[in-house]
Amino acid sequence: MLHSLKKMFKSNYLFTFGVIICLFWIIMAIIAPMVAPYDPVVQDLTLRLKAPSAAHIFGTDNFGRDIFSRVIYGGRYSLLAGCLTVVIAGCIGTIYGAIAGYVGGAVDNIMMRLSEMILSFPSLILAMIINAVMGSNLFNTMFALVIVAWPSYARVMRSVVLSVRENEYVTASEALGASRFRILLKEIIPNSITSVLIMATTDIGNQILMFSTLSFLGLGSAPPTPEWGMMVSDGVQYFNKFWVAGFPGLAIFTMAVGANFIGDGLRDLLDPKLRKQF
Amino acid sequence: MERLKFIGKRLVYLVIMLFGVATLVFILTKLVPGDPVTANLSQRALGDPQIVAAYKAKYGLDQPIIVQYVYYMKNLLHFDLGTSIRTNNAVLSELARCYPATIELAVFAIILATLFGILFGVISAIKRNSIIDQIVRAISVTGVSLPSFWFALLVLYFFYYKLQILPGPGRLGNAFSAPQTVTGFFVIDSLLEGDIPKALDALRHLILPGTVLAAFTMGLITRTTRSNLLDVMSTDYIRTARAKGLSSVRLIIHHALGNALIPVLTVIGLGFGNLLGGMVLVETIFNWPGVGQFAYQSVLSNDYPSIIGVALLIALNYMIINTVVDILYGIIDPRVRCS
Repeated sequence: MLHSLKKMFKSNYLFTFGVIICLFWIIMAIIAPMVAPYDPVVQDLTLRLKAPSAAHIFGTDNFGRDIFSRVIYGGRYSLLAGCLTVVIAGCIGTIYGAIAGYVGGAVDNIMMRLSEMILSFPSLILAMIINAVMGSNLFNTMFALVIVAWPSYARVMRSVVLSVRENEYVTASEALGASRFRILLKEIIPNSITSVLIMATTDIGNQILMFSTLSFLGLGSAPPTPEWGMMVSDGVQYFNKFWVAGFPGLAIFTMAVGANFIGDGLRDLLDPKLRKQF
Repeated sequence: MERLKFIGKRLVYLVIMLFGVATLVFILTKLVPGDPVTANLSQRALGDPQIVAAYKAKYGLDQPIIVQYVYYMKNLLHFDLGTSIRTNNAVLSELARCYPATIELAVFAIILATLFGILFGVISAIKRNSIIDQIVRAISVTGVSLPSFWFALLVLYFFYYKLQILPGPGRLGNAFSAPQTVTGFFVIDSLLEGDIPKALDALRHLILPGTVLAAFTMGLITRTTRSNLLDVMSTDYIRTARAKGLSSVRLIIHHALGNALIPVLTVIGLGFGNLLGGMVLVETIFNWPGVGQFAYQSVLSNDYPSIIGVALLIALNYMIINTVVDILYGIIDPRVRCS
């Protein structure tokens, strides 16, 4: 595994590129107070909408705040929201899908129809409704994202579990008298988790996009939080001042591209079907 | 006979899912913290207990929740989605007004996404691991990673504001008036009127929002086409065809592509459903008077009857598209029907 990862760093440039971008944003988010030249929320109306210059390399926004500092701090929210959503939705979906797949029969049928109902809503609109119902803040936005995201994990997990449960080691465990719960936890889930992991890595980019979309629509964290999506939406009114929306948008884009390149690379690595030569 | 049975089964399943989705929407509305009476009645009317009681009785709000559910389902079956709090019109007529604009844009976008997605996917698979492949993969990953609201601003900034080669927001330029509604599609309606310049203008207005909407789905289609074509190319029958001495181009077009495109059909179907969801952003930014813009305005003004209407409409679309894809799948690929 480690060897193939090394090989991939050398041969798959897109993967390496993705790792570099993501590492860059993670480090920036951690050391934001050291890197950001200004306080991200302090306003100075005398510096409103200044174009990029040596003092403010990304320019300033309509409240005279330094956009570079806000972009650096903004990474914290997007990364946190993206990763946490994937982890929580992944866990819920894994357990749900594993139970549905392992128990089977009517339970499986009901559980899967329920998840399909959620899937049949366009995710953005469902997240918007949940957010509108619960009120907008960082926690509720993430909650909405989790509600929308978990069914996909459940479906993938279930389909893998359906084949894993037919394996001989599961039958052996059953013959030894292991409880269903134990079999689920010790045999089924560990042997089916790879597909969910592949999906999770590709999903981080999606979730970062969804999160910034909701905050672009005014359904994320409250101002003056330096959140990337909200910063782009501030820039919509100042259409000819490209830097107000341009730089935060570029940040979301690079972060999502990085996460997707890594996800793609890992899928190639972990999915033996794709390793076949043409 | 077998085919009819398969289609019948899918249709029954569609009805059950619709019922479930409507129930889910009902539960969501019951979780809403606001009181529909205070939301709908004016301050003066609220002070009059008789009016409040009459209002509650009219909408069955004084009944137990089960009875309310039955009322709700009954109304739905009569296509009564209630009245929009924001515009005071029937939600159904509001949706009927917005829907054609959305579908026109979505159809245009899915055509763009499918054409370019398959083309890029095939090129990428033929030239696997070459520099062209890497570039195409980079483009497709870019497509799925672009925040559509940002991409929309970028294309507006460059093509409309800076270069001024394409029209900006709206469905038609100021020089034209909306065509007589026949289909609701401005391009087709203008053609029916025989007004070619108007049809061309409507088409030009579709390009920017259509491209923004298509980017994500195009990325997905490219990736699916590439990986499926690679899978098919390693099968025995392709090796046999190659052994017969067929050229690569002929091999791909006549033998491999047909089978490789079957899973792509699902992605196109799902992509079309997702496009309808993605409309919220694109329509808001491009001032496109469709369902997405209506949904956004309804969410901002807590107009719950309209939000429910939009949610049901889009879920219905999504499920119908999926059912059609499933049925087509069964027709194209007999293996699916048998299983």
